[in-house]
Amino acid sequence: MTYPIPVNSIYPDLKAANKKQVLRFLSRKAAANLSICQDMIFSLMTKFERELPSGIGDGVAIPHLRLPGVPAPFSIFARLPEPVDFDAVDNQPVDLVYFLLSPEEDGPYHLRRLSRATRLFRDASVCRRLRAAKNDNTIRDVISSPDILHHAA
Amino acid sequence: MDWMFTTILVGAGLIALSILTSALAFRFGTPLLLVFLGIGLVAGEDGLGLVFDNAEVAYFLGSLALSVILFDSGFGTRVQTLRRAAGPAFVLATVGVLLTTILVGGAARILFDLPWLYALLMGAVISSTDAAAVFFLLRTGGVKIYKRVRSMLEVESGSNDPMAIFLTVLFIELILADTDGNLMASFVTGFGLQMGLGLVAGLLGGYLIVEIVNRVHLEEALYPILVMSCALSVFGLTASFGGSGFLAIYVAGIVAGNRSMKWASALRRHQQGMTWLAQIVMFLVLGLFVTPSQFGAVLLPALLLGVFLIVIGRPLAVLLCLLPFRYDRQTITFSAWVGLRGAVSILLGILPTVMGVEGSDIFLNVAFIMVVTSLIIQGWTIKPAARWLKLVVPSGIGPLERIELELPGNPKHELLIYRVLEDSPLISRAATLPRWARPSLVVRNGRSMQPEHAGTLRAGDFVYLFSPPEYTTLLDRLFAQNKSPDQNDKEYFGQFLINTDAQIVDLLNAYDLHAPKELAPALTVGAFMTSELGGLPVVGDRVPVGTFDLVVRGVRQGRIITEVGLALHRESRASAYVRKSQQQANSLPMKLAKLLSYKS
Repeated sequence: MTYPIPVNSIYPDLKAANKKQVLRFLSRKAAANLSICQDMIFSLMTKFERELPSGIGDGVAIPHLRLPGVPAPFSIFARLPEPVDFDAVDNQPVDLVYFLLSPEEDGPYHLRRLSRATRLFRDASVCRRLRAAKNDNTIRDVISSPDILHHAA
Repeated sequence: MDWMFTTILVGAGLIALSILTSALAFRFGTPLLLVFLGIGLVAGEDGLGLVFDNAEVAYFLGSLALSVILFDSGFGTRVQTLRRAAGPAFVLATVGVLLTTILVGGAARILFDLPWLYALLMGAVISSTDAAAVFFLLRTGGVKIYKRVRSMLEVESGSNDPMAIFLTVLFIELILADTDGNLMASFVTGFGLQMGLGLVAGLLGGYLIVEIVNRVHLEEALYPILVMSCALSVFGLTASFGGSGFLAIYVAGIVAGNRSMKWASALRRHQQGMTWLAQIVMFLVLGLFVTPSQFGAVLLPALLLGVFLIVIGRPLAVLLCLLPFRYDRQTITFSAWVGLRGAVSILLGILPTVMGVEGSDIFLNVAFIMVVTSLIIQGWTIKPAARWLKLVVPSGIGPLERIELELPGNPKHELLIYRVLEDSPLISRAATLPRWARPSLVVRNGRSMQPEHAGTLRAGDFVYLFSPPEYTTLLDRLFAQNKSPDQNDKEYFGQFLINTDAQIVDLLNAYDLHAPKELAPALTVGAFMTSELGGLPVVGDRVPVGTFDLVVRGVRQGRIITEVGLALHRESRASAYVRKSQQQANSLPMKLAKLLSYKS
């Protein structure tokens, strides 16, 4: 059984010069949506990045956090026209970012969503379609279509 | 009395000759069944002049052989296989056969200018795929085809003969009754009665066979004979009460083969022999019975009908049947191609003669030509077709053997046997076996030795390893390719990189996981892994934490862990190209358990 992973906001043209700007942008958007303190998200994200860099290779990064005050799983997908360095596993610059936030009490489900996300983005054809996608709807379809998940699994 | 010795000589001689020729056939990849058929032909009326034209004897021998084959193919079908493939296979075996009959019947009506009932009879004769041919080509044909596809085709070919026989008999009866009759009504009642009775008798019979064998104490050698004669009794009894004996014996085989029974492996071996004999006899007899010089006028239209069946009839029927199951295009194409016809069709071609239909020679001759066409065209191209459709499990990779073990006091392990490849990274020491893989035996040049004594592995060594099932796919990375696992190999090394200086407690907290034991607050990931692994860490070593694994990605000076990965998913599904050895799985665990308890 595979369930789609959430994708709440999509930014297909995020212009950022470096990793810090990307994280700053993501925490600002998440904070605005969930009414949580932006600085808290940002400082947790940067701390987490130091210990567990979120770049999983092939130009993809999946920053993820469990956070108090988050009512439901929340996620942002951003595409960077100019890839930035992300300290990724393979040292490749990153242009696809999937930011996943889970409620604090969501422990095992957080892991499961994360696992699903890494499976999805591991599929080269998924990444290719995300890079080629012309509009938000296509992106949403690719990420949340269970068919692709099935294929990727 | 002379005729007796001559008959025995000729009969046994032909069988021996067929078997010996089969060794050659393996070399050239010829469909073996074609060889047996060929030998029958060569010995027959148009060849060496052996005259055999008793339709009833031919049909009798063929039916007997077919029931033996069906029992064995049922016996060898695992319930798991059945479960995996039941839906689509049974639709193919019923609706598919009916569709093929109608499509081929329509074409036969045009090609041979036959009345409708005769044309449909022609379609019914040729409507089922041959279990022997399909099994043989899919299992021993030298290619490994993905299980899902193989299961479906095997179950289909095993279970569609009763339907074809039913349709054939139905049309013959309608022709003989010489009335228009109510086709629909006789179809429905006849189908319900025959299949219903066959199914019930088969279930009961299979159950009884197991009970009898398990309760009666006999000389070991008598069991196979007992089982086979009981099975044939089920066949005979069901058929004499108007049920489908073929369905009954197939179902009985499935039931018996899936319940635990005394001497199961001996039975299996014995039955394999019987099945071979049955196949050889069936094809020989049918080859002898046919007279190619009579083909004459039907040759061309029969060839055309054969091509129609292969190119249009079967593919269309398969497509319509499999549509609801949402298979991918490759699977449907391949299933459409593996519509091998065989002895059953020729056998059914004799049936009109046996039952006294006028002008019945045409059925046998046409069926024969179509079967040969199918065996040559499809039989010879199964391998390339499977390869072209990317349904072949790559060869040379994956373990030679994988045995599931149930060891006392141990959760779950598998025993895997790999052959070390010529340019394996293990030979050059570019890669090392991680510690979750426990090599226990190295066989080199026919001598077995302990891994410690074997030193560096050499090409051609056989390595026996124990490993938890969820890691067996990872072993393929070491044994199945000629390079060390790539640092970007996410399944081997994990999706995320972890800073070795990070605190393990923080990491656990981030994912809401509980520490396996009391941990010092400042313990780093690197130190935690070193202490958990104990001894010198090796690239690829894993420390399970909650639902994920921490993987050693890099080691410096042989003892300091420099890079750690986080692997989110352990591969619980088995690698696609693993083939399980069913028979040994039963006996080996016991032997191993004994061995281990003796050692400790």
